[in-house]
Amino acid sequence: MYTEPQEILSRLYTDVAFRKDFITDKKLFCKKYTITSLEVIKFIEDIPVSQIVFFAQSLITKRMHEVKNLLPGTSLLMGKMINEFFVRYSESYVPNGIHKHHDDAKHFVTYLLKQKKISDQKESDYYLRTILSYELQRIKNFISPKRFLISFYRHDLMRVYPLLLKTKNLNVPAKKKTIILWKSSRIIKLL
Amino acid sequence: MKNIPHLGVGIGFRTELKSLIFLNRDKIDFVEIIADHYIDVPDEKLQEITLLKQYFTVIPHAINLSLGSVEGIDIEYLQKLKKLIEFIDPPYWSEHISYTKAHGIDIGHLAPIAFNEKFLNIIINNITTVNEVIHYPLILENITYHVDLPGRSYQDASFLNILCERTGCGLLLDITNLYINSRNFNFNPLSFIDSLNLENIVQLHFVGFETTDDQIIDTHSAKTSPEILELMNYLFKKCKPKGILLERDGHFEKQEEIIDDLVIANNFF
Repeated sequence: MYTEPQEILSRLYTDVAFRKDFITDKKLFCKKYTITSLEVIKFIEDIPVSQIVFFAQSLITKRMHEVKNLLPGTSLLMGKMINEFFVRYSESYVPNGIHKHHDDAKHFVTYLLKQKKISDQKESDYYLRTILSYELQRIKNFISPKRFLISFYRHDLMRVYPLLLKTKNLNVPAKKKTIILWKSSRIIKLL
Repeated sequence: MKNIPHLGVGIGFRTELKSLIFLNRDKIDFVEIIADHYIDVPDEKLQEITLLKQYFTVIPHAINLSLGSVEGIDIEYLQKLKKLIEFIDPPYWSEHISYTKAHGIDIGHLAPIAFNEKFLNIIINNITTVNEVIHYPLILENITYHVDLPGRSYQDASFLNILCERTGCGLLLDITNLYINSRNFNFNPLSFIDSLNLENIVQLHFVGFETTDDQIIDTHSAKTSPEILELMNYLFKKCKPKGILLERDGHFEKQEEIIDDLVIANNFF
């Protein structure tokens, strides 16, 4: 039961299904969510729908922009496809906390890694998943640095990743097994 | 607010702008850091602040206190913010007249509050809570809003005047946000400035904006437009803020634009 307009607004901004009910029929919306206070019902009647929709969409755009900044390699490799995936993902999760954008990026990468196909070809799909895993570990290491963690990769990411960001060359590089040590906030290549 | 020193021209500190900032130290007097970027981070990250303090005055700009929240302030977050501000020891710090979370939902951005008595009292109470914990002068920023909430009983400027008067806080007047709101909601920004108690203004924010088909958006990623500069000129004829800050958040590769904006800002003083 909703009695506080601010709570309703927060949910309208962030919950797709809740917002859809509101846009479709405000009277039914109030009934469905047991909004009985006359003051709150009047507030809902007076809220401009188009403005709520615009703001809600701008929040997703902002989230996407921040997440893409945290996943520069992934963004380069996926191109415009990342936008479609993000919009679908954003309907299922709302990040929170001081480092909410890192939290968002972490959950988005996890979502992407669960998809059957995130690139057009098999080899580029493998490479993209490698970059995703690397960027995911970087984010996890920022949120809570590991004292000691070893990761194995199919490519020499310490060399390939900075080159990808610098040259924007999207070709899949030659495979080279690499072992990386994550120690506190440092990344060290062991092999 | 009377004891706040003159600061001059500033720029929002972003990692991508580090080189530009240090190479253009002659044009920059102070930097603003986003508080959340330095809370719950490794010590190496905090060393960035130590380095910045050697060359500039550092102003912490908070974004997540949610001063307009009906349910009050997150005390755990407030304590973390206090620790950071004390580490920086600034002449003042800033937050926004907005809310970012309510009833367990983190909106992820600055959302507007209704400009009425209810929210005036809410925000005053929250600021009282904050001032009991953080003993540094606080200035409050006006945000861009895309939702004009029902139940308004104050115009924007009147709300800001009363809020500053009742809390003792200063005003961080974001000229770009003012301009964007005036265009999106059809009011005269000059009348807004005329209605404002200019003695409350401590600092300005300015930067460029972008337009869609029917709205202007505060992307903070473009060169400052002539309309924004005109508003700043108009304001400067009436009062002299302690500082003007370029709040650039994107398209960092356009370095000449950014430097141009800093030069223009310096000309105001």
